[in-house]
Amino acid sequence: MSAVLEARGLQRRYGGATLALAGADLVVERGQFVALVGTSGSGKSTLLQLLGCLDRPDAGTLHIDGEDVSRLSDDALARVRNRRIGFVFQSFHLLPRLRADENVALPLRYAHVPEATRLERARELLERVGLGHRTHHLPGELSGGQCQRVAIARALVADPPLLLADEPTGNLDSTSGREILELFTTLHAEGRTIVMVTHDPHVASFADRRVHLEDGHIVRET
Amino acid sequence: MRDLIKEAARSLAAHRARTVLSGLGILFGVAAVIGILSIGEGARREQEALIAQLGVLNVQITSTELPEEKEAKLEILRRTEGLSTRDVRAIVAMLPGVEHVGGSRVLEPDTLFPRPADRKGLRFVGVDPGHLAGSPFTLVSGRPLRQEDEKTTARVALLGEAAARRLFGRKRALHEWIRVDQTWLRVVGVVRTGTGGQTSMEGVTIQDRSGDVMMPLSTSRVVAPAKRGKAELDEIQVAFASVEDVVPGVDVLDRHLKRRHREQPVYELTVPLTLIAQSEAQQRIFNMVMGLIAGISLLVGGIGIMNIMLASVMERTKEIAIRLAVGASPRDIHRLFVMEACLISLLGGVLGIFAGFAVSWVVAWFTGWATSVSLQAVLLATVVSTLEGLVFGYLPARQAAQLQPAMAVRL
Repeated sequence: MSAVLEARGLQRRYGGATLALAGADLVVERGQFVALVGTSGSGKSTLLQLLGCLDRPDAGTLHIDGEDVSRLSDDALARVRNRRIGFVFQSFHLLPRLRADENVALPLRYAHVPEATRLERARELLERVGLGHRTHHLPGELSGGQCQRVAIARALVADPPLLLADEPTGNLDSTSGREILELFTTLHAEGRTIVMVTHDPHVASFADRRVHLEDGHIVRET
Repeated sequence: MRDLIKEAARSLAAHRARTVLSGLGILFGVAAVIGILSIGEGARREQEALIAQLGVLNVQITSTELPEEKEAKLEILRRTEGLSTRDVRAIVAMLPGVEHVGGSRVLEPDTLFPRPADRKGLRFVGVDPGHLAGSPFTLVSGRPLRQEDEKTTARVALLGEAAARRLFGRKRALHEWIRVDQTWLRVVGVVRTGTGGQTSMEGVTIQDRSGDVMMPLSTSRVVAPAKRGKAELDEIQVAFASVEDVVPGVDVLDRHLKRRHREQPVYELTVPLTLIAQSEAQQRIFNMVMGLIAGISLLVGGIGIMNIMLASVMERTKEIAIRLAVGASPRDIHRLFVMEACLISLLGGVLGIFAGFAVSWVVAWFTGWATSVSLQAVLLATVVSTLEGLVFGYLPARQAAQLQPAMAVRL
């Protein structure tokens, strides 16, 4: 089984009657770079949250790396997020009081990796995203583009099979945004599986599959 | 665990003022507990010392002042002459389980040599050697008064340490002479008595014996003959052989003395053993009430921590969501907040222990009470404050752990 991600009939309803996501089917094979495209309210972010195990679907099943995660306990789900998924957010979501390397090492702390080992690994990752000289800086001392690269390093630190990104260039100027996209392209070229949410057709053009959503439905793929 | 402590300490350090303020409640609570326990402990020790001075096995029978009014005084004197050596003999004859019995009388001499700068605190007493035998004295130098001194009306004196100092200053008192009114007495010994300082317990004044100038009872009659209208003896001390004899013995003693003195109110009984029981009961009540107050302040302190922690959970939603998103389990989040609460209360507890020592010291300074911080009090305070963190940190931690990681994406 080579599908990293297999979603069947995922549904999510927030409070009221409208379905944010009305039965989405999506299979992502290993090594693919997929963009979830749609306007705001189309359900693309909801889908990404479900795929990232940040939220639970009201109906449907989800397999990640071959494991059915639909019925896992909260603690088991945390383990899936920790080992199988790397998440990159639009506004970076770094902990402001941790240094860059500590932020990158955070997932390993919850995998119970000893501190010296995980900081070592974090520095390797920072090196890879071009921030080897910034390991001891706090997020407040870094530019937006640098913060996002720290966040990408954090997403990769546990070497997860699946990388998810929610509008990763949304808070960046065009230069930094391009650098980040280039980094994603490199990661993709190295064989990473990436699912990225965006509303920007240009950003989506970097992916090799574009899945379009409208009103909670997957409408087409290009 | 190390990661956890580090993380918790770090986020507390980031909000130093808040941490200290929320720990204050515990600080005051612990300080109150330690302070109060130290007062109780000090009082207990002081009483133990007093009891030791009086002697647990002893019972003091003291002459009461006769009424001022002449009619009433005559009325009493017609029926009884007050405490006398006949009472002493009667007690020896009829009371079982008695080790020593002896009477004493207080003299009020007009002249004294050597003339001390200050006669305050000096007391001149004629004592039966049987009285002395039951008293918890330790001999500093010389010898005690003996039975043959009494028989031969020896012109000798035994001084309490304070009396020796007052009469002779730095000079050695032993073998010196003193003149009490017209009689010369030779100092044959100096004794140290109990704790010193006149104190009272359960409303009974305990005489400091350190300023006593003691002479044989027979000699005291030479120095100053018995006065008419005044009891022959001011005090009779009965020393029992064992603790079990004391309470039943006192009963018999009281009934016997009542009969001998025809129910007249000429004496009072002081029973240190019963005083202990009374003061222990009072001590328990004091401890319970004060413990309750201290407990309430600890409770309030704990609620303070809970309050701050709840606010902190609200404020740190984003941090919690991020930790959850990168793989922290709800249990990890729960532990983090419980650990923070524990560190706050432990910090408050440790500072509170120091503050408690300070409270105890300040109370001792201003009131003159003896206070003593016991190891148990310190341990109790530490355990209680840590437990408080666990208990009052639980609710905020649970709330933090219930947050959903999806928050991270929306924020």
